[in-house]
Amino acid sequence: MVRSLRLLTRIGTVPLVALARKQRVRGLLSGLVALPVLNALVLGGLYQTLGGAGFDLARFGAYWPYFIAVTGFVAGVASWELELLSGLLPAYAGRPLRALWSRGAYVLLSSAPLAGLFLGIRVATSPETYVRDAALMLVATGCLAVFGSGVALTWGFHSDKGINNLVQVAPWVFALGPARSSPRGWWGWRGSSPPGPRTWRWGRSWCGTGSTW
Amino acid sequence: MVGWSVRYLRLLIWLQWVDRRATSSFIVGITIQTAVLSLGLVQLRTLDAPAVLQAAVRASFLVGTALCALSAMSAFQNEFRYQTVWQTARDQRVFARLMLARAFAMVIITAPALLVPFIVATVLLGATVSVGVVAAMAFLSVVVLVAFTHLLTTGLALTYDPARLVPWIRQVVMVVALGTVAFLSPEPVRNVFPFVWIERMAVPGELWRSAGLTIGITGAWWLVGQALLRRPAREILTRRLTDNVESR
Repeated sequence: MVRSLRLLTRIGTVPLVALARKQRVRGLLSGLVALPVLNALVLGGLYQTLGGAGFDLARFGAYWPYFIAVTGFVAGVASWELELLSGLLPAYAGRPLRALWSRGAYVLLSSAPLAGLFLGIRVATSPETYVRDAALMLVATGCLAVFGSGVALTWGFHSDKGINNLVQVAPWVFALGPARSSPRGWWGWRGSSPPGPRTWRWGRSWCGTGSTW
Repeated sequence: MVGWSVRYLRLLIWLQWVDRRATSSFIVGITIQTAVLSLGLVQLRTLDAPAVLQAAVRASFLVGTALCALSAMSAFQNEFRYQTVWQTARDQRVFARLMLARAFAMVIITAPALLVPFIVATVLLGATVSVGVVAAMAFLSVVVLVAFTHLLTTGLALTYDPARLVPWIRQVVMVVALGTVAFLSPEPVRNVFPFVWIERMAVPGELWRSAGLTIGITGAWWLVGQALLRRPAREILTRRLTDNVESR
């Protein structure tokens, strides 16, 4: 039992170790932590900080379903990338547990930063619901990751561009989705209080006032 | 090398199009992306005209900076990959001009996607905005993007691994220079870049001053960038030409 568990751990982490070796810690930090966080902030602020308005973290945080869904899906898709590049895929034939374990490890690693960001914002802005949010985030990440890795498995392996195409297109396709995942998810005029008549100002807006950043 | 003939530019534009078409995510991604960003603009229509046009500028650069980086990453390397460098690098000025022409070609094939947000904004705002102002903003956006792509091409020629650097440059442009994430982008820093001045052209009474500043700041960035990067880029070019010459 212990031996098989150890074996499982080792096999599951082989792609991760290879990833870390290939990208180094700096590459992992920028590729899996800093850039996705900045990317989400850019999408969140794109239509929100118009006319000198501040970046409203609470409003940004309210649209976590879209960002978590995209992150989970992209993590599921991208979890195959290393296998594809290194030709590891045949190693999983007939060994579903092995494939599942290494997918899970990758998804956990790569969706943790954004989940952490949104959970942090939820804790700070609406502490009464964050436990429920955290549970939902976990479930959503899991479901979307399974979906993403399935989509990649069935569709993305015909060329080496396949995975990259899915990763690039996913955020935009998801933005066409229903409810909170729709475009208003990022800038969300409808989701929060409607924008009243605002004065146009360019002055010191970046430090913000009141609850906005 | 025909130099600046229209025919030659058309050839480059066609080549660039063939290059980009090979990446299927280019067409699919750009189409969905433009549609989503335009849908977002529609939801902003209750705002005043400058804010909607600012959103159009941002949407345009969100698409443009990402796409033009593709060309900036590959323009220099492709000369080596396709072994054409032996013809193009004979004259340094010709080579530099080729890089500018490639940047221009890339912006031209991206232009439809860049212009859609402006067109949508014009339709949404109707009579509250003058078409001339929007056209000027769109035109200057394209000019700024050509300068940006050209500088990026020259700058990325110096790096060993441009694919690692490009996302960072793009995020810095979107976050700091355009000020999408307001708390990471102090006003004085934002003002050093031309992007916010394009947005300010839409503010009533600010058109000429902002347009002048956009052109001036872009020109200054381009001149300083060229002055700083040209010589190192030339050295890299020479070094790569003589690399491994012994073992050939």
